[in-house]
Amino acid sequence: MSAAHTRRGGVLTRGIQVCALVTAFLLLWASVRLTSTAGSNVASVAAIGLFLVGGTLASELLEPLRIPHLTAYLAVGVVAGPYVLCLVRQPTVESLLPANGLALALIALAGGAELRLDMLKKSVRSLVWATATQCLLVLVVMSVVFAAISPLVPFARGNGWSFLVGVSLIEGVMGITRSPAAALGILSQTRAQGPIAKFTLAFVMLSDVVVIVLAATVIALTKPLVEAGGTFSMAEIDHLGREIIGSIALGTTLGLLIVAYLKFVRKSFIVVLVALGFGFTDVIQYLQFEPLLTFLMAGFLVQNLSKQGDALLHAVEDMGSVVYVVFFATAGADLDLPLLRRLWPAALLLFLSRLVVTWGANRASTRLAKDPPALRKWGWSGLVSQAGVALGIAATIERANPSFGAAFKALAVATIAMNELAGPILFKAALDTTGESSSAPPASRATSMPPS
Amino acid sequence: MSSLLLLMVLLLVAYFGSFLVGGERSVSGVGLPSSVEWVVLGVIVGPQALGVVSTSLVDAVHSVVTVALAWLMLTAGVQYAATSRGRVRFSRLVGSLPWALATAGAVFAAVWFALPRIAPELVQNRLVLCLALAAVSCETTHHVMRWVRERYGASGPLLDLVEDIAAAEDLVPMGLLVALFALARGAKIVVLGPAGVAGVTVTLGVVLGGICALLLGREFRLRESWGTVLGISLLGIGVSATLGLAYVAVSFLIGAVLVGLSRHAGEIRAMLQPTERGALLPVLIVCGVRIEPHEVTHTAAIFAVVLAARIVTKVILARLLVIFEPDARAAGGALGFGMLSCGSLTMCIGLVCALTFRGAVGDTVLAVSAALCVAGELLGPPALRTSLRRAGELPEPAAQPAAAKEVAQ
Repeated sequence: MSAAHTRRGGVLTRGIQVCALVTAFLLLWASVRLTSTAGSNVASVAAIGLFLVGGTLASELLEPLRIPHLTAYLAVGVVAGPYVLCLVRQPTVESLLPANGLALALIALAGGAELRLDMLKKSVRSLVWATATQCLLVLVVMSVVFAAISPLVPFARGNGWSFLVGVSLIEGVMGITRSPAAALGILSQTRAQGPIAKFTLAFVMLSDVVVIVLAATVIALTKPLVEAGGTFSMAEIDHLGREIIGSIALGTTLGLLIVAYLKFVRKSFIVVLVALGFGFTDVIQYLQFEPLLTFLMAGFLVQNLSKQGDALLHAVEDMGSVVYVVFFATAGADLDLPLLRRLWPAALLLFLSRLVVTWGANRASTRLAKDPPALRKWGWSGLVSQAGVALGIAATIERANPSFGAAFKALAVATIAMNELAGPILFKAALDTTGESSSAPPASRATSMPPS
Repeated sequence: MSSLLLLMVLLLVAYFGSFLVGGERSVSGVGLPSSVEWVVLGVIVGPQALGVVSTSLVDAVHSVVTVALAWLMLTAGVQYAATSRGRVRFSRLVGSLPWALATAGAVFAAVWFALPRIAPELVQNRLVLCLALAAVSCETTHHVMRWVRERYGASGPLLDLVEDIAAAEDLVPMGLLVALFALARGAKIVVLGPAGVAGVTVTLGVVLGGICALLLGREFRLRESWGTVLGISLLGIGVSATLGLAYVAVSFLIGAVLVGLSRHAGEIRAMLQPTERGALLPVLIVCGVRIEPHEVTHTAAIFAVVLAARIVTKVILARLLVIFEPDARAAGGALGFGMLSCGSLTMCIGLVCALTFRGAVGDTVLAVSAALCVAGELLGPPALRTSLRRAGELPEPAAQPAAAKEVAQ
């Protein structure tokens, strides 16, 4: 990520970047046309290479247009992906998704480490009001909106009122999910330091915990309404409790391990981070805990209960130039464009409604919390993006509701795609407009530490 | 053992490798110059001994091994013709290439003519086998010079000369690999013919290395440079491996062209060199695990032919060096044996062959590579020390610790 110290290249530099970008695409195009190794291991390696080169170059080329780097990465993924140029085919995209587990782990770790206790204490009032309004208002309004547009949604038609109420509530839960990765990615690019940046970071990270709880509760409660023969079971709540407590416990253990390592060894920390990311992701999957919460907790603990927080942040930031590009370009390649084309009217209405209600909820919460004017005006901008967490919840809903889950997920994915594309642009525009993105000098967060 | 557990173990090895190999401790005290002990460890945990790690398990992490191999070659390319004293002079670089070329030619010819007698079942793959064996047997590892310099405190013009020769030789095995992949007709662009395939391989490496150098631009920013170098390398590895080209040679060329064209050669070397330590040890262990001699007696016979050709060539070349190079006059006849050490490059090429030409050919090449490293380890360092002692560049044994301490300081 280089926005903070953007290359003010001249025509020659831009020309070189364009040539390199075209060469990278042409090379992969040639290899794909000449072979049929979709999904093979080497195809995945080439895809990661294209994402890295293409994403980095596209972000620099689009920099003058003030387009966020994340959007450029997504665009490269979309263009190279299975539905446009088909340079990266669907099996290859699927083979890259496990690697995203590592990316998500590092992003969550960084997210937790960015949450400083003193910062949270200062903004506790804002956070409480924002959580209340953003969660409840958005959940209720999005449920109502979905019920209103249900004639446009094939699976919601003609199933009776109880089904519609249940499905609408589930859609409401989808509306309150946000993207920590997108928020962190934009903040990493802009190095913003100000009320909007701090509020967004804290809110998005904390709201994830609320979202996980609310999603599980709503899915369990609506089961009798949406599934024939479905019954409410306390087992779901029991499982949720175990998941949260287990994640916090495991995150604490991981945090202590990181603290001990950074204190006593510190050398080759990036190798250790990769190993921990892979290893713990596997352990978390086995234990059926929540990976985001686990790594968030670990980062939070390292930052607030030790003196090693900055070292952890430096290490994760060093990997940022690679992690964010691969994560978002893969997400772009995974965007189901034909699905979006098919479901765009309903998805667009849901997207616009969510945008409006998020804005409205922000106005209400900031007024109640007596927040500064900048936050009142732009506090909503960082809450629009959706990505991995929303997709994870959509997948959970699909599994929990076999009768309509697949169709529901399709609509959710189409809506997430719109939020994913528009969210980073809105957030960066807000940070640029309020001057937060240039308030911190480039060197203040940069590090010259080598990544090993 | 699952593939994930294997990956974790390899990461652990990489982690410890970053403390041991290539750093301040390895050459000056811990480990052998060829690092062949890690290959032996691989053999011990592999299917030939304890069976903790199976060949199929290694195949499950094939892409990781491919990337690690190519990355090692990228770092080799970045360090090509560079020593701790700086860049090797062009005239010396050109003069050094015949060392590896002659050795490769001798090994090729010896195996070509001996093969029908010692391993007739491999005759149908004669060209591939001979080229692969020539590629694995032509280099001298420059780590042995570093080792004798840092561990024994040796220094002088003879040591500089042989270090320059060893540092310049790496280009020859890479060229042989390009030819091997082009002639093996495994490439997806075989319609272009061997020359065309070889041309595409070289062009790919040069173009990507050039683009990388241009993208790094005037200012060197470490964090951004990582994305560019890693992206270009992975693209090169992925595309060339997909097309069936010599992906390690492409990586090597990317590295060599990158430092050749960039004004930040020093920073790039400093950036990439530490990663070599992490990638090397897991690869060497995988080499050991993958060693499955096709027919032990035939493999032993091929090894004997290769070693004999290698010894004869190196001894003759060393003799010529002693005659024509003033700095080498006092070295004596042991110098040829001193140039027999080989190491990570040989093992990496052996593993590339084993993974690409699966079956008898690949297995034979990898087994011979490992045996060459062991033989080189036994013969090379003592002979080199003898030569250097004769040339007055290595203190007598009693004085060595003090001299080594001085060098360390």
